[in-house]
Amino acid sequence: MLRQILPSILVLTLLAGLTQFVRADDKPSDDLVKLIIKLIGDPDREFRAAGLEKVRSSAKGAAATHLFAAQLTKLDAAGQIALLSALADRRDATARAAVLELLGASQDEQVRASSILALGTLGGIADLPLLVKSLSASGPEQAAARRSLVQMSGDTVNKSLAAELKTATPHVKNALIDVLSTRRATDESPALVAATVDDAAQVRSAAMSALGQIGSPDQISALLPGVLKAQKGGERDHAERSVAMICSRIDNEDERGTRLIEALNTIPPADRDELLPLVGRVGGKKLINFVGDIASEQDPARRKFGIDALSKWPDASVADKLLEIANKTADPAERNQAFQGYVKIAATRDNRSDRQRLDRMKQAMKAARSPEEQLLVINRTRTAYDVEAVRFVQPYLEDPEFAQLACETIVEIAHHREVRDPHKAEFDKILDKVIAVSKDAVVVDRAQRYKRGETWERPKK
Amino acid sequence: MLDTAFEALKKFDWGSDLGALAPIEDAVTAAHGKPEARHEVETRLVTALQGELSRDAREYVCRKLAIVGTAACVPGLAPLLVNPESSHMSRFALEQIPAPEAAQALRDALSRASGTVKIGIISSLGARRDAASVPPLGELLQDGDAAIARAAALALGAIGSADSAAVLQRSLQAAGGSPAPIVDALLHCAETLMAANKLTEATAIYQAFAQDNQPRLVRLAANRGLLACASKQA
Amino acid sequence: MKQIKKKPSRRDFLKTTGAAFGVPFIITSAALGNAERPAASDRIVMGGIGIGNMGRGDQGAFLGRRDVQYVALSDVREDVRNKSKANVDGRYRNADCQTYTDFRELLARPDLDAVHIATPDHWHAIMVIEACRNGKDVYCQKPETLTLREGPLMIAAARRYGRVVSGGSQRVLGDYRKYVDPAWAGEFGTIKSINVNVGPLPQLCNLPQEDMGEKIDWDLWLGPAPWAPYNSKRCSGSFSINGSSWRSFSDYSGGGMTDWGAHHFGGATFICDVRDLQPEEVTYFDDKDGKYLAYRYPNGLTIYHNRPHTGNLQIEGTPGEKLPAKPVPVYKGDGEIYGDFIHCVKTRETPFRDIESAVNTAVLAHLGNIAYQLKRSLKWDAARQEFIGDAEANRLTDRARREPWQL
Repeated sequence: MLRQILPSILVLTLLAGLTQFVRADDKPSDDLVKLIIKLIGDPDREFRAAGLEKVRSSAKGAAATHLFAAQLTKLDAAGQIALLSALADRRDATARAAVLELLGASQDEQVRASSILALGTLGGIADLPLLVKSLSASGPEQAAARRSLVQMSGDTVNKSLAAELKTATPHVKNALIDVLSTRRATDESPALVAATVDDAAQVRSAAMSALGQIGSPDQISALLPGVLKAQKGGERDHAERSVAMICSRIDNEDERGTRLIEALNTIPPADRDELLPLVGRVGGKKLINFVGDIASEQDPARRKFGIDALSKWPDASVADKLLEIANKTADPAERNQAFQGYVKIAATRDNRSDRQRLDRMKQAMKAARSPEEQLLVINRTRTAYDVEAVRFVQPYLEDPEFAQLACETIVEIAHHREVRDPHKAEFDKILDKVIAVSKDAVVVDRAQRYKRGETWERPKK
Repeated sequence: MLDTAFEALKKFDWGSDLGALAPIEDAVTAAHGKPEARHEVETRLVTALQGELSRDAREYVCRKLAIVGTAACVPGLAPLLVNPESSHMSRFALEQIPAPEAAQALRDALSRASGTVKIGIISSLGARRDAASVPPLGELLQDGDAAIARAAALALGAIGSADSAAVLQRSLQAAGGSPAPIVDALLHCAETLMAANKLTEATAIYQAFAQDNQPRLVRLAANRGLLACASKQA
Repeated sequence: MKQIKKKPSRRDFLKTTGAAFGVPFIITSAALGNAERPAASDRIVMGGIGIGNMGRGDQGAFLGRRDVQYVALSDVREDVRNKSKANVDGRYRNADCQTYTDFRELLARPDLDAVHIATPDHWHAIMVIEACRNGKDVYCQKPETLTLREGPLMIAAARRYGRVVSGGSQRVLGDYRKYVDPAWAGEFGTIKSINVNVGPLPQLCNLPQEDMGEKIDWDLWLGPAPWAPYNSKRCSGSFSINGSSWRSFSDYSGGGMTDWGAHHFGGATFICDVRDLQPEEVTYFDDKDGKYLAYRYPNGLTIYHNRPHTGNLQIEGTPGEKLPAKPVPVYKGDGEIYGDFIHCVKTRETPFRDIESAVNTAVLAHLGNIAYQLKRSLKWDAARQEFIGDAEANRLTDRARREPWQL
């Protein structure tokens, strides 16, 4: 229907995007090249940008590229940076020589960084040593080299980067691992696996992160020594999470458990218990059996690892086991560990309903033996998005020992409009109480906003 | 079902159950490719429009005529055009009905309308890219009401023909300076001409605006246009 | 309704004299720096339009940046204007932020470099185009368009005046990397299909008149949409899409299909690297499993909508095939999508969520809404922006705007 044809600008813009206006083998007109060159030398950056846009996408051919690249030496630093970016997007290697020349001549850090970045699309494997060397620089040149290596195409780039990994300094190894990971260089993952037992903790962590992204389930057993080598605390947690992430790529739960158990069996028995927390992070019925009956376990070290494992379970299926341990044990430290674990996984937002989560919290409150444990329960009740959860916490507003935390939990639940709106009158009354009781200005502000039907934006961490 | 729905339409108002009108919606959809069914539902909608309806019900009818309306419904819609309360929804249908009678009704209403109603009619003619509107819209470029003159310029830009460009250029020369709506409309025309491979005409517009005496944003747009034309010539 | 004034206003003056293209009224660092800003003014001078809900978040993101000077805002609600001004002034410890009910007055300010827009969707096209005409760069919340016709006109205005116009879905890059990275690394092989689960469809709003319990310029809120009586749910900006906010209603939004579709369809087209394309056919299914769609692309890809028994963004690749890896496009600058926009305002590069990609995403949602409304399959000519052989469907590519609003 011709009447409906939109203004032809539309055809213009769409054709530009959907097809190619100018074929690659077309010779651009002199007028076009002259106009582009005139504009890229304009002092007004918006006029310059108009010319650069055409450097990126139009006036094809090596002759024009050569002319454009020749402008690099005639521009100020800002102009050089902008033109380098456009030449990089043009992806015509004809410009490479001019870019290298500028890199060698310029003292301006930003210009050098932009030159390095442009080599990612204009250069090739021959430029790889220069770029790897730039990884050991600092500031914008290092960041540019990293991005450049991520962009570089060529069949042997990944292999060459992996080879560099063997001899590089820890600082450069880190950067190379990041590059290989971003390039999703799965063929070179053996080099990454080797790096998980590197002497430098930062390299080990980087390698684990990378494999968490691109590792394959076939590599689980090869990664367990890396988990054991990771220092306990942050590095160990991170390593466990990375391996658990790889395990999660096995869709079938049983198979996931089987594969992990097979991998664990390749580790000397003496070290195996130390990997129980990893087992907990993966979870699943098969692995519950593998962990065994921790409540009856006599070996204190294994008990500790076992409780840790259950506390990291991804769902609440082991909650009763933890509660049983918490209730039975005579050791206060173990009680503390098991109870905390119980409350944590009972509150996990898994497939259960909010009401089921709340029921667990009520059960925990009954089992609590100290104000600290009660506070733990009040705190975690915020994961039950249910008006009943607010009703459960509300009485604690009256007790100074619990009131402040109860206020926080209530506003967290009230944050959810779908919970709040159907019970507006009741929420308003409770939020009034929060406003009166809370000593935290943010909590009071949130309560006031929710009463007014407004949203509160959680600050980014 | 359909009879019941049309009965419900007579009492329909804001807050009424929309579900009661669903058979009308279904009839409109089902009329696709069935001229007789289409004629029937259109006739019933026009009949309803001529009866006593609430504003909401009248708007509902116009929404449906926007989909199934033909030249046959234009006489029912045209009188609504100059009434500020009904003009928009009348255009809601007329803007979409491809029949030349719909465009004629909009053009005819131009001389009878004023103020914002007139602006609305102008915008609908622009959206239809109605070539026959170029002369009357050209006259409106000189309207004493700046908002009407602006609307006419933008509509001429949307039409985007060599004729509309010529009218805009004459107005520009007469006005002196660079009135923003006329410049924008001419740039719009140049894009349309360029897309139709009328590069000489488009380039001429851009070159005029690329001169140093033009405001910065206009020169920028003109240079961008010149680049686009040169790219197309390459 | 705010009538166009008979007495010449400053705006009329701008229009009739072309002063919008001319010399600024106020000499500021930004105005001085049309060609090159003074070194201290590497700051982008910004204003915001529509500051409730998403607009408040956007404002916060821009306000938190050292390289932005936030000086003006516009909203049709008095309460929002006042609170938002207090927020901005509090940040800068002054009282300089100017407020406007009518966005046109804000856009006429010559000292603004850029604006962010987070009004309901029925306003986006008019505001984006007007901003471009006034030489402003624009960050526009998603979904960027309400109709198919609007998108190309917005792209044209941006390109005409060389403006940086970024769409607003932060999730396209932020949420779907776990699919994007392996897809661009070629690990799925040729992707044959991907499924998007999103909804619901928009509905006509027939809510009754309510007493106006807030100070709002109702006529300006409605703007180009058909006149309707005030109802708090009609104009609520809450994020719900179940009939209690404007997001549910077809006069103001494409429903969940566009509201969340901007994210999910945007993610799907990114994963499959078809952000520059539009589909050529939409097949409508209504069978025992319910209603669903299949969009076919010129390169053979199929994007399903609500395909039965299929997860959101579930990918059907080519087992055993590994394609060459491509670098994944990412945000430039610092500060995610907002930082990307500001970086591009400074460098004049193309933002990650360039208006053209954003429009192409919205097209999917609009085509889907039309197919569901008409209950039939449709063929789409992307170059001509029209349906092939379906005159009624073509009538749904746009709608008349209430006077005096015009694209």
